Amino acid sequence: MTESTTALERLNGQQKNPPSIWGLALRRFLRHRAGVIASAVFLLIVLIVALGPLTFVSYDAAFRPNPLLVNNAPSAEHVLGTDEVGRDILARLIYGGRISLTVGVLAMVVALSVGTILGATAGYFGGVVDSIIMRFTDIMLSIPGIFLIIALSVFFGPSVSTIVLAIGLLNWMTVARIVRSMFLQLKEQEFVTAARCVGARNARIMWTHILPNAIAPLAVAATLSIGSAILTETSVSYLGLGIQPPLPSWGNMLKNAQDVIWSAPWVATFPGLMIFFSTLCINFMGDALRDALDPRMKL
Amino acid sequence: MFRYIVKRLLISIPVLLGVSLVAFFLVQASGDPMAIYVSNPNISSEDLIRLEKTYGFDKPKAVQYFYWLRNTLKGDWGQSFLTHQDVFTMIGERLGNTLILMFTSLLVTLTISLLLGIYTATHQYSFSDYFVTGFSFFGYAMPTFWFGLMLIIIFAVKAREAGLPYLPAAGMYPIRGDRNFGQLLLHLVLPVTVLSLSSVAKYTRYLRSSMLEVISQDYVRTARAKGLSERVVLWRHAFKNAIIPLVTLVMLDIPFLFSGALITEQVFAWPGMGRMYWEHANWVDYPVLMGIILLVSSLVVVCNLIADISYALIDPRIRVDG
Repeated sequence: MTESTTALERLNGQQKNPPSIWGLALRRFLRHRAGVIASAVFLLIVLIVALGPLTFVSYDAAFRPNPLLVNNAPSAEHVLGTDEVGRDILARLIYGGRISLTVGVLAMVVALSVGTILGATAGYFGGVVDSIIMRFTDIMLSIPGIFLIIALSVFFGPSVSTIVLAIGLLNWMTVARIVRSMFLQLKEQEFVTAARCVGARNARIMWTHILPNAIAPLAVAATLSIGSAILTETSVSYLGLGIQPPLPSWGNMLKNAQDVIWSAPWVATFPGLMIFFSTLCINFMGDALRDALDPRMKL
Repeated sequence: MFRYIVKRLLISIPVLLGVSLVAFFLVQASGDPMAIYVSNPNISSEDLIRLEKTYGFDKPKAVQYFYWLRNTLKGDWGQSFLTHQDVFTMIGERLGNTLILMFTSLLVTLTISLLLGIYTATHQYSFSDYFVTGFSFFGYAMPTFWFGLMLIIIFAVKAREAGLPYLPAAGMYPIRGDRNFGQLLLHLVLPVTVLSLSSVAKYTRYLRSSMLEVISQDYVRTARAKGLSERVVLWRHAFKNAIIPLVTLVMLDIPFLFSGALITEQVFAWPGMGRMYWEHANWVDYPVLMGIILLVSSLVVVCNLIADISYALIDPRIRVDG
């Protein structure tokens, strides 16, 4: 009884002032407090990292070794201390953030593109095409990614583009599965038949009719995959096979930190905090996005 | 049921072949194994050509793949280019150490997340529920290796400086002294904590939501209505059904556990297979790399198989025919 009256009231309320889908989504996003705070913090990190080198961070502090400043503890002049060759850690964090965040986003773009194309093709055409693509997905899922990323980055000479491609090309499988299942569901619906009746070709049906309906889960998966790409890049760089010095990344700043962990623990502390907070923010954003775009979707 | 198992077994054969194909060409693409010899001034260019012939590097890649596949199936996993040891023996020496690390971690993970998951599900919206949910976000976002470094700083470096009892930060046993079980356990504490953190976060959340879903079902209400004690309702009725999806999840997560183990071994200088992989990757020592990838992937495929089969066994609602 109570449920039906509230539903009716809600319906009446909506009729008075009908909000758009995006308005509703925004409202749900804003209700997710952690997500809102996380977005603000992440935006701040992005702004500092993007604008820092243009304004208050000097190139020299981040890149020029200074034998007089080796492993200095945090002080007023070097707020986060200096590293094993006397470079300012704060400055390197800001330059390194540019690399780590860029790698995260670009790897997501690669994974998203490959995953969407393969998943859509498998789901839409079905049959043999589907079996082949999905078996390939199974194969890729059976090999722990980090083993192949290591092998790849040894050969192609570790560089930003190698690491982006390696991470992207080994992480498209989840996206492919999501897109495939969306396509399997949606291709049977009337609007697809309607589109086919008016003479739309397969490509047009796939990309302009079906895909937009899969935006919600894709946006969530994309956001979360930025976080995991950042974690992967930093781990591989920590192993010494990712971003190469003197170019800083949050991961390779930790590589040498372990050698001085007894004498200069601050060298190891701050890059990890940056990785941790960025990933945390991204995950909260993904969570809020899920609540906003697709309330029925679960873990 | 039997037909289902056979069918799943048959499917996993092409998957494993595919794994070996993908791995072979990616690892082969990752560089020239002859580079070790090229940099050696004692080896002339004639020797190089001779060596290429003996290893079969002058043949096309596809032919090399079939040679490699044939030998591997015969049980000959080749020799390391670096140490000239038999790959099978080399892996055998290290695999055990990795499995010790992984199984201990899995045990710890499951114990903690079962307790936390059920506790939070039965105390929904309490302070501890929010606390654990918050913690799980932290666990997700934590970079494994950095968490390891922080633990080393706190429990090895700082504790030692403060004169407190401290934990060992590297290896499986002390360099000098007894190699006994107690020492092993002591050396396991930090790596296992690191390796378990993110899966504890994941499984706790997962179990909480699947427990909540089960608790709200009619048959649980019926059980309560019959006057069964809360304990029996929880463990005999709800828990059994909530745990089904977890079995699959754990099995499907085995590849991540291997990846995590590789990094953890690196941080804690654990003499496992992942560390060996890393050491040999730098030299494109591909018999070793291929051996490890193939072994790890086979384990993953077997675990997936176990997941599917156990899933079908536990839950009769799953259709196994066809």
